[in-house]
Amino acid sequence: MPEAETDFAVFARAHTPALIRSAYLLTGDQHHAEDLVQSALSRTHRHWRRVGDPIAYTRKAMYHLQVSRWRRGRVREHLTDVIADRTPARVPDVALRLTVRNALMDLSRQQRAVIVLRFFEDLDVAGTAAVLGCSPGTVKKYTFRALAHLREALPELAELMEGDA
Amino acid sequence: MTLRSLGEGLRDLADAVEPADLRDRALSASRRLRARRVVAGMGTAAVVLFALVLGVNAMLPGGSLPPPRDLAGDMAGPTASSSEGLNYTDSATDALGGITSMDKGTFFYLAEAATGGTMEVLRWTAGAATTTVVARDLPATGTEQLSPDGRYLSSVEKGRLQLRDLIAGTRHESIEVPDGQLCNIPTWTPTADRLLVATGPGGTSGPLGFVDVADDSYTQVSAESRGCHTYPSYGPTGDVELTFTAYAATSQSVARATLEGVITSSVAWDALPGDVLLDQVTDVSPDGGLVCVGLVPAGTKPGNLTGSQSRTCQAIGMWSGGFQRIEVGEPFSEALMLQNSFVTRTATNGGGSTLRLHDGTGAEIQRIGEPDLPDGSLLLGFVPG
Repeated sequence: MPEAETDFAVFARAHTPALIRSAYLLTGDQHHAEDLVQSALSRTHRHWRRVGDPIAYTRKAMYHLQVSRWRRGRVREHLTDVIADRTPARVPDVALRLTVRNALMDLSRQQRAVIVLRFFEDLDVAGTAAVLGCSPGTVKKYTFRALAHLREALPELAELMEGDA
Repeated sequence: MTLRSLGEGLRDLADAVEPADLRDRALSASRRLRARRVVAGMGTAAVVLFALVLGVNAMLPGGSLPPPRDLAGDMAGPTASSSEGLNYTDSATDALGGITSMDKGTFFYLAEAATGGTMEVLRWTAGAATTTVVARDLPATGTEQLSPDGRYLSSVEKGRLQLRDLIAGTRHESIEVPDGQLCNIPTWTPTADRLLVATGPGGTSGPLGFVDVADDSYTQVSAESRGCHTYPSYGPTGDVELTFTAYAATSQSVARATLEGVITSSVAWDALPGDVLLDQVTDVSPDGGLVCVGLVPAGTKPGNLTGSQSRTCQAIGMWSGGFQRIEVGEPFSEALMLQNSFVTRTATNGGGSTLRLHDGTGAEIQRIGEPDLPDGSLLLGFVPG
């Protein structure tokens, strides 16, 4: 295997789990999440020699692909009551997960991307804007609107999200 | 379990995902795409070769003529079916990540008619071999603007706002407005349902308002025109903001204001390094994040009207309280600001032009060649596919 292929394989093995977790929050579906990460990794592979920061490039590609897919209507979102549960170390509250997931899926694609980047990936406004290729003001706008919706959908979070925007 | 924070809720939800090893799938997908591109490239080369053979054949005595340009809309104007391929409901304002491809997108051009004396609007779908005339017999007013969804062409003729429906092929006279070619021509909101018009004398100062395309109703806003070349966009809070060129006795600036007339940011015209000054605004992206301006040499007097009718975008910048110029590598003659992305047009040595799509940082995403267009044609707009 050429050196570049080996490097890519090592990179993909190391970062795929984290990427899938983010992709799952963006898509709400295991298979769509895998497809999304696969597409992003495929892009990274094609530009491997020119990509300076592969993880940043892949993450950016993933978020852009997701927004693009939605815009073109290629991916139809659907909500089910079934959430994959693979017996994690601690017992999850499936009902709460479902509530969080439904609230997340109710957000627009822009709002969801911003929420995942800011509160799951722990990026600040500037970092989120850099990934999405938009202005910090746009990030603030979507964060504000998304949190307003989540406060309604997740009243148990309302008090704790004060000041998050 | 109780939630302690939104982040915890998201992490808990992400725990539901199954791990997967996608290395092989990604590699296979990448190789498939590469193979398809090779095949597509060979196909394109074959088409070009075929076209060359046809061209040579046409030049020979008795040879066949090249295919005529598509003039389907010439006789009776465009029909409803001519709208196929355009997505008028998917506004560019929805794309947080910006436009990612010009494939199947539609470009509009303003060009002088072959018969001379009048202008016409041409429509071209990226990848197609021909263009279609979607509006004809237009007087050259310098006020033509395409709605962001590609449906309407607005202009000012004989003191009235004109709206041409490029789908239905109809024309409609709207409200009375000053001609204002030199200062404020009616400009579209990103949602394509309203036009910002300046109703002061000559469009130079005085009231500003919106004309609703649906019913021609005019709604004046409290902000008054305080400059020229005013473009509306949607700010971070979703409110309409106005970007314009403001003139003073000894200098100029590019400014942004609320609909109440409050200036929220301003950039002096000597903000750029070198011997150039920022001049008129020529385009603003739907979210206001990208602004394009013309340039004039240092030493130019404020309010110099030379070339003020020009659509020449010469410097593209990110607008975030200041103007951060974006370098795009190659020179360009025109540009269109889109959501977090923009298109530039560059003349090639062969006589044609190339369209390049850039992301919000200026990085080139895609380039395509234009079809054969009349000399001097202007790029009016782009609607993503």
